[in-house]
Amino acid sequence: MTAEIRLNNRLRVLAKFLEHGSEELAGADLIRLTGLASGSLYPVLVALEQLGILESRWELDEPRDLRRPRRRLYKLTAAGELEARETAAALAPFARLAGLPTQS
Amino acid sequence: MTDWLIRAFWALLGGLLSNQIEAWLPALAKWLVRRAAARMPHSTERYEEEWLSLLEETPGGLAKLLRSLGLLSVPISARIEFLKGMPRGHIARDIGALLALAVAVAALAPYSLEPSRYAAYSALVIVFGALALGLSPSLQRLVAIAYERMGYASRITVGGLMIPLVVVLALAVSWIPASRRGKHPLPSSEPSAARKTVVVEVGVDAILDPPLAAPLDLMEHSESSDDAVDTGRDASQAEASTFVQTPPIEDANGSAAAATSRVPQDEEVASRTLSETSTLATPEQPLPSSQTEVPPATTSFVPSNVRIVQSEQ
Repeated sequence: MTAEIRLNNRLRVLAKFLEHGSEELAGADLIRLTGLASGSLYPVLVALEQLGILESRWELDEPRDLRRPRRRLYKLTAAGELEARETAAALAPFARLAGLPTQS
Repeated sequence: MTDWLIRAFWALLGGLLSNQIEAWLPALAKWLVRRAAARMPHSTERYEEEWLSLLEETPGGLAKLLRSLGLLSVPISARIEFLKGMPRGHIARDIGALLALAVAVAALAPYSLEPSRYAAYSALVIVFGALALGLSPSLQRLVAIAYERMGYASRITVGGLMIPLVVVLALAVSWIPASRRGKHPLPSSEPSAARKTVVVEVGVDAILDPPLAAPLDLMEHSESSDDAVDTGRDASQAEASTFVQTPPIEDANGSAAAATSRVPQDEEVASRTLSETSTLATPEQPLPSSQTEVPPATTSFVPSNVRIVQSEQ
């Protein structure tokens, strides 16, 4: 059961990255998009970054110009994007069975 | 009118308290985030800045606090991921080295094969288990993988087993007798010859008030004089004491005289009667500082070669 929940969280995050293409997403964006709590999202981000599926960098703008602390931006690596698409393709039959839209 | 005032007071107090709490919540949330980031296995500064930025984007003090509470669990998952990514290591070597160390320490442990050995060795097992996990990354990796593979039910079961385990260990350690916890009985040693003093029991009242007490004849050798000497002491002390022959003491004329004195052989009796005893010191033995010499006027019946001192205890 635990592994399935973790897999779902990872898949939810990967799906949002695939949806947004090459766009970089911050943690706050992912919390809003996926609906995951911070305590569930960040373990996924840490694991995916360690696996080389995600990469991250700081915002280039200065916090003084932004008038807020700089954010950490995440995006899929090339290898990660390939792996995410393969996983989505492998899970497509399940999505069709569940009546969910699938990427062609 | 009074009710209205009381209600206004409580409303004001409630408002002040809520304002204070609202003001303190972000600070508390930041503190929690810093604590969580500090426990990350790597990149602690990065995560601290990232999560503080996340808190800034979160509106409301309570929401900030809840978000920071959620982040507290991230280091555990991150540490497991970190350990899983580590090389497998030399598990057999680490376990063998720790077992050898455990056996060596157990062999040197100051516990004999008493019933308390179970407590001692169970404590050793727990200590070495913790030591093994602390020192061996390969074992940490194994535990992390096992922990992740366990379901929630298994984790709760394992966590629940820790409580009775700790209770049993605490009971077992408390069961070790105090003598086994580093307090070894010292061998009974005879006082050395240099410090051996001859203690002569003399009733205090006999010293301080001679007319009321029976005369003390230290030169009396016969055991039949026991009753006369025992004046002023109770029967139990009389039974526990025995006569011994003291070393000959030379008097002023150079003639040796054997003084028979009452010396308690039993240690307990000696300590009980110490405050009521006097010390017969030979010329070679200086008087202890805690003892004072009794004025000679009260001991006129004592031979001139015998000094009777009274303990100050």
